[in-house]
Amino acid sequence: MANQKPILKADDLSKRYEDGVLAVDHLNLGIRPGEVYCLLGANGAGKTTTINLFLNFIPPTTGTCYIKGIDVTKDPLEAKKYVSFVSENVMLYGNFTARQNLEFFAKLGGKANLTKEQYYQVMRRVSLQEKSFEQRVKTYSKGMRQKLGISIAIIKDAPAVLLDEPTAGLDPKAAEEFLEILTELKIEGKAILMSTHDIFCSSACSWASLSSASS
Amino acid sequence: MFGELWKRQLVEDITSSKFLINFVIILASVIGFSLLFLGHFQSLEESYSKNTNANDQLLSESSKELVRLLSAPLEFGMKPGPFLFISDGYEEKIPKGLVFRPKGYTPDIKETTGLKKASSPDLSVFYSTDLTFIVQFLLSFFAVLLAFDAFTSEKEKGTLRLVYSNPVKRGHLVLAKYMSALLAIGLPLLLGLIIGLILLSLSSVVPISSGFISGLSLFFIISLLYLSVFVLIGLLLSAFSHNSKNSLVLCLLVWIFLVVILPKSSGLFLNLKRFDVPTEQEIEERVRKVEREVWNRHSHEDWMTRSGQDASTKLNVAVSNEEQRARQEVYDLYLRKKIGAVRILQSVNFISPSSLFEYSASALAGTGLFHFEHLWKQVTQYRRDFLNFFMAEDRKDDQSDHLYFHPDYLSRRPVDFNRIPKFEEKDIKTGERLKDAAKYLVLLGLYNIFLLILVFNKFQKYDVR
Amino acid sequence: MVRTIIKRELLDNILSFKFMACVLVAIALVVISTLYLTNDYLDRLKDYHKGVTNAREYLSKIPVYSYLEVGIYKPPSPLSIFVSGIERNTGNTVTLTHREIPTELEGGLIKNEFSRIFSFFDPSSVIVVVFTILAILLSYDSISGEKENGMLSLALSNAVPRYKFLLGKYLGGLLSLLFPLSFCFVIGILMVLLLKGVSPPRNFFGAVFLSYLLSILYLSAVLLIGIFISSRTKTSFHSLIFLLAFYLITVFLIPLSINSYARNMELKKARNFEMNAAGLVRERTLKVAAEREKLPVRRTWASMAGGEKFMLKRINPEVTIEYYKRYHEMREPIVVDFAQRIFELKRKDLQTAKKIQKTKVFFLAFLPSANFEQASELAAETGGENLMRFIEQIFLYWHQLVRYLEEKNAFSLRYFYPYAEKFSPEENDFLAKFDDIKGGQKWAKYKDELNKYDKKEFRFLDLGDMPVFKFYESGFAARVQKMFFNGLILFFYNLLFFILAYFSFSQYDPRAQM
Repeated sequence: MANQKPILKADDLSKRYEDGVLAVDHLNLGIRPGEVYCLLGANGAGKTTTINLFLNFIPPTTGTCYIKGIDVTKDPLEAKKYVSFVSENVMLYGNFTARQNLEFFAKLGGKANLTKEQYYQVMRRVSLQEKSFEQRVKTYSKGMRQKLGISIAIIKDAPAVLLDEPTAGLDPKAAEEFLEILTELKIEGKAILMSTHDIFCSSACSWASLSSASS
Repeated sequence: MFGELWKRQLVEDITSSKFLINFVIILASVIGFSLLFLGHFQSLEESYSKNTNANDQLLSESSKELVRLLSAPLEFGMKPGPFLFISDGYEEKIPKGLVFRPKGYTPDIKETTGLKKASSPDLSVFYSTDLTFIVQFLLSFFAVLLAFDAFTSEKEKGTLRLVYSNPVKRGHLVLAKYMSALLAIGLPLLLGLIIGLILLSLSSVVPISSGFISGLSLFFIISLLYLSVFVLIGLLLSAFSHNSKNSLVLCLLVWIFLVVILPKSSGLFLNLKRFDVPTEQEIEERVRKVEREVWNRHSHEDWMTRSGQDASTKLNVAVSNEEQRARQEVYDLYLRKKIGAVRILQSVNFISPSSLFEYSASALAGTGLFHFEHLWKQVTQYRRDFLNFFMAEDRKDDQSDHLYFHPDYLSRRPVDFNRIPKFEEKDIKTGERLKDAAKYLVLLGLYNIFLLILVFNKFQKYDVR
Repeated sequence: MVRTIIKRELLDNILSFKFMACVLVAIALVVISTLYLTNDYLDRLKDYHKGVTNAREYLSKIPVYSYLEVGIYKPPSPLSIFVSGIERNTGNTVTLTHREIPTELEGGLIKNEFSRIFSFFDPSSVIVVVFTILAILLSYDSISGEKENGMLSLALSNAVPRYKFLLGKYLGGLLSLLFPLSFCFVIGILMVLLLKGVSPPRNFFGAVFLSYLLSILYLSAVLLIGIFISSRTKTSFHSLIFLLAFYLITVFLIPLSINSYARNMELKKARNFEMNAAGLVRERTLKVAAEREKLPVRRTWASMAGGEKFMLKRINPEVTIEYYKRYHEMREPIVVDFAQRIFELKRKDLQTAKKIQKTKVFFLAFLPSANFEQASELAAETGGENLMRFIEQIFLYWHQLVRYLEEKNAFSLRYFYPYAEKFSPEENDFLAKFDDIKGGQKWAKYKDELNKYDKKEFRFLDLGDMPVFKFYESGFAARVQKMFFNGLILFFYNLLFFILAYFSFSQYDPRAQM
């Protein structure tokens, strides 16, 4: 896989906010299929900013982000077809069930016409309990929501996956389960960019970069 | 993809508790107001038919001598109809109609001064119990409530980031939220209107015609136009805020300003000189002045009434006709001025979509000022028809000198009561009503377009993190 | 301990966006409405003074008792600047004669009836609309919001008893409201007194103070209701929706419906009166005609319009004068009698209206905002109650007036005759010649000649000893008494919801769901 083109690429990426804080300083990275790149660092080190830059939620000060060769600022809609996103601490739509949330995001991600069984399949894969598939998300614990978030990313089946603090607030067992899934995705050939402050996560990483605050 | 956004939003809106509470409130108000209306409408109809009977009685008594018809002080009130349920038009507050005032030889047309005063002076009912109120107040409040956290709640839940990590156009979410909210509001409104219609038709007190039903449908469309403005305002303020609490405060204050404060501020300009109208006494003085001008113009001539053949008598009749025309001109001028002043003041309110909606509903229903103006036109025509009939009848009598309209020289023969033209108020045609409502609707439409553009623009740059 | 909580709550509120936004809006609205209503009041005051002067002037120059009309004007109250009530919508004049007991006011500054569709908000409605929203916004998340952001668990992990926490929340909220409220009151009063130079009447400050207390009671009730609801619902959002619905229903919907219903009822009753009154008037006309037939003297000339003074002289003056003397001696007491009978009819209507009003007021008193509005109208004396009292005082004055007329033997010769009895033969000749002159302009042509007779031995009536009408406004104690029931209900609401909140909060689960 090493000779394939990188799916997630950042060229000389920098972001300075209006208040002067330099969150990202000339970042260069390229993640090929099957590689997991960890952005390690303390809180406020610019990890989430990097992810936001890839998703074109904020414009970069210098440099460019590419998803599958597409410049995210020039053609964001096209680029987003090829990336899945797992957010930190997402509440999701509380009045809907897990499956309904999953179905909604699957369709947004371009995966229509999936059967209920296929949704269940994915949710089982992330070790969500059967009985909670049709329960409303607002009754979920943090860990369960996190799992659901991951299943949303899985079902989109995009070549790139962005994860923002995926293990924040999870107990060791759940974190362990998560690492297993991450490894599975890696083997499937996804290019994964993960921001985390959990150093044990890095055991799954092919690459890691440490950043401290304001550097 | 857009369909997904929209569907999800609709399900969420309809299953929310705010929808339920609003639904219940709307239904309760419609039912309550229908019952109130039924009670009130009956007495309105009774008083109108009493009025008509009094007119008929006057005509019947006068029919014993043709000439007496000229001095019958007929009264023409605004006919109550089921459209009052749609929009009350403040008909209880404005003059209730016009009268034939027999001052000279033929009657003048004047508005009835003074209202039907209740024995209690409590005129503090500032709003009316009609469908317009329900839409204007309750539904617009609900519209704002549905839309105020459209973007901020998604942001706070984190789902905004999640949604936009997918290939979704910014505008799609805006449109989805907008259409879903509109539907979520249109539904209880439609149901309310249907229930109101059923209640009214069941009661058999109120005559339901196809015209009324089509009017109701048009009202529904106008309401949607109005409510859309508030949905857009909610969305706009949501796009300006970063958290739901701030957005809510802004939305509430804007709602209070547009719906409660602004429409109740035109009283501010009432005292301006420009809108000053003279008192009744001053108007009568002016009338006397104008009459005297007519006399002075003929002061050197002899217009004493002697016999039916004399030139002086003929001149007397001509002078009195001139006098009547001059008098009527004064009355018409001041009536136009009064209504005109109110219209101008109303235009100050055009900034408030709430007032625009109120005026268009009143125009559509053909009530209030619009009703009065149409009645005025019809009464003026009736006076012409009435006098034409009189002249035709008089010509049949050889004993009469045919001097129109001096009472001493006209026919005294009895006339068949059934042949006398009676005034029957014709309903305003739908086309006319739409024409009256058009300018307000256009402004409301512009409001919508303007806000839509603003919301789209603002949301393009909205920070989804 | 409570003080710490109060301070924190106060600071928290004052620095929040919602507080600043609402207060700014409230102040702006109070300033605008005060300015406008003060100008309006001064206009009405000018109109009042003009009317009083005109009425006085008129009374100084009337020749005969048949012209006697006492113009009575209701002075505008400066308190109407703050609570406009119905003052701006009703007339301010009554023209009193012995022929009719008035039950309605006329006149006023509204000359264009079509403009009645407009109205204007007053400072008291700013309290009802804006301050209530602020109170709701401050209290809807007072309990549930703290739970949701985890602060409640933190707070209660200390040794603070629950009721103290509740008290702190409540007093903090109340103080937050008190500052802008007091500021608005002070600004309003200063603007009225200093800017526009309105001179405050006797009960002005007392009434303002009463309104101030009422506002506090009212807003406190809203606050407590909000706190209570906040401790009952699952999330802050639910409590907000509930409170906003409560706001819509109790501030707009229900008062409107109740007022509408009451007004419909009254309108129904009014119609009955008119029919019966017309019947009485007809009866009076018939009676007068019947009595006239019985008069021993006959009149010999029909029309009395306009040139009354001169025609009287010409045609057998002594007989005509004697005839009219007897006629009026007969007629006016009958008119007085019938005026009272018609009024009795109307009084029944007025009593029904009063009863309906009372019932309406009773029911509305249970809605906090309507309660407050009514009570402020009572304190400011600008509501329907005040008008009814005015009409009742007019009724008493009418009796005084009639008694005065009877004492002065007004219903006799002086009712219609302003001259000494005799004219000279030359004058009689001229008058005889005058009538034969043809031409439409004879009055204008001989105006100067005729005016000579106008000035002859012609006396204006001396009405110096006639009783004068004075309208008595209620004293401070009387106003308090009238508002007592309203105030009691508001106080009761405060008590009730504090107790309810206390019990609800003692069982409240402070853990946040996460």
